[in-house]
Amino acid sequence: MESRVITITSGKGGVGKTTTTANIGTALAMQGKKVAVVDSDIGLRNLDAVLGLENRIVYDLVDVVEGQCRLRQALIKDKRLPELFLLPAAQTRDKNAVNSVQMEQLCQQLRAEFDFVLIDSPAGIEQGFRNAIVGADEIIIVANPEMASVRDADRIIGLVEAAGKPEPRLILNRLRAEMARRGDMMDVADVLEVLGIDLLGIVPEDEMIIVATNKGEPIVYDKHSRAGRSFLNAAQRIMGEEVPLNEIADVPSLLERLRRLVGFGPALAEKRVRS
Amino acid sequence: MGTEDTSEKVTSAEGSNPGREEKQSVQGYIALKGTRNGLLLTLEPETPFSELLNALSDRLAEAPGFFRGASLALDTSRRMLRVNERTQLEDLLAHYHMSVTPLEQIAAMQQKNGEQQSVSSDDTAPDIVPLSEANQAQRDPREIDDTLFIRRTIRSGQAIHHTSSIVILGDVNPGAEIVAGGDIIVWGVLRGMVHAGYPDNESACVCSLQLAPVQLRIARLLSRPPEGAGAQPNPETAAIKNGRIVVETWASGRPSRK
Repeated sequence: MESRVITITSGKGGVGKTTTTANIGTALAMQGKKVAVVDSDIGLRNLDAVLGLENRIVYDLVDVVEGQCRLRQALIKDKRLPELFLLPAAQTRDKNAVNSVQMEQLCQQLRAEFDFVLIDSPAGIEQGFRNAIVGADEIIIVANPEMASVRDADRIIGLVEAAGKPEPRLILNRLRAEMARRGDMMDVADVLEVLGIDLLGIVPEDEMIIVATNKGEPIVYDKHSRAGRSFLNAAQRIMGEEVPLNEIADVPSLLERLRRLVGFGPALAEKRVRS
Repeated sequence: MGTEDTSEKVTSAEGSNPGREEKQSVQGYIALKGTRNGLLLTLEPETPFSELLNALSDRLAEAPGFFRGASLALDTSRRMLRVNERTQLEDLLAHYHMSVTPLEQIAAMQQKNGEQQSVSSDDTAPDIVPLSEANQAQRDPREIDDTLFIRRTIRSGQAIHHTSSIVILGDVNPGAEIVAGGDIIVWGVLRGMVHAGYPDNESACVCSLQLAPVQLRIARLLSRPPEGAGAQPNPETAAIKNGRIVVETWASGRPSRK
């Protein structure tokens, strides 16, 4: 199988890049894929903690690109999944410790070993972001349904296009269906109207994510969590499976159902999902 | 499309003296070429300024000795620079001991050359741009067929600056900026900031399938949509009437002004 390098980015901080990377990485590995998750947020590393692997770090990404160690020495095997590996970021260095050329070479090295390489991008649009996307085949944008996040996502889409990468796909994270229905929050159609890219997944707001993150245990392990199921669905869509986008299908409001019936109203989310 | 197009425009604007070009180089989004009056730098209107700056920086770094001490004319006929952009450019040039000659000065020089030559001899003069033609840029920009046509959505952080009219087939998202010397027509939803008729063309207008800009400017006037008012879901046009920006529904299939 062709190896795929996928960067998860957002522009804005705190929207759930690291959580998304950890969960989609875990979900892909659960499906039997060989997966490397790479924390490219040098100086502010978090992915290790979310995966509960913090205490196993010996070498990191900067050590690898500087030749202090071999790639295999820096890769940390997951606690549960033998096919999931983490390449942690350096905590004592900063984004300028790595340049784009080194990052691209690193991606090539990882490609040889894994089915999927997921890169967790730092927030922002500076060198760290450019490093994160330079070696990527695909980009996933994580956004929350609020104006600041959507605007930053829009900026990132522009930069990704300018970098000659294919059109990114969107994961809409932390959606509160009830609030969106009342019109107190942007809903899926509002976000897609501005961004105009394909939707890879919708993740509902879920308090359990905070618990899971603190425990260092991705939410996809929790069979009862709706957020966990959403990440699992997104991972299956990445693998090319057709999974209906029913994450928000609590019960559509009466008005909504009427509009769908007559064919008016916001474009249905389902229509924008790429198989 | 940009690069070739740009250099072509330069040649035509520069006016019928191709034989006199000593050196021409096009790298990415910038065109740097030698003319009889020194170096002329043209910037592509669609590209983010930082990228233009990087391209120029790379070009200069290739042959630092060659450009050292040179004076560079800036062709702003296709792209206008903001003050901070100009400062950045000057900083970069200063690094190579280069300086910027304003284009107006070049025009004056050309004019002077033209006069001298026409006086001195008749047989060497045909490569001089007739003054009337050179001055066309000062007339209503819409009369010049130099409209910039863009077929994509303009996203946050992207800026399009053009001396003539701009047509966009796509949306203009919040955080994007469109500045045109002439009209701005958006075949899509306009949610960003637009400035038509920059700097002082009061006859310019803005049309869009859905007009919901963060801010709309025409010539020296500025308007914001009223607080809390949702955008009309039908095409609208904004133009200056009696010293105010007026927004009207595009109903009759023709522009409301004139």
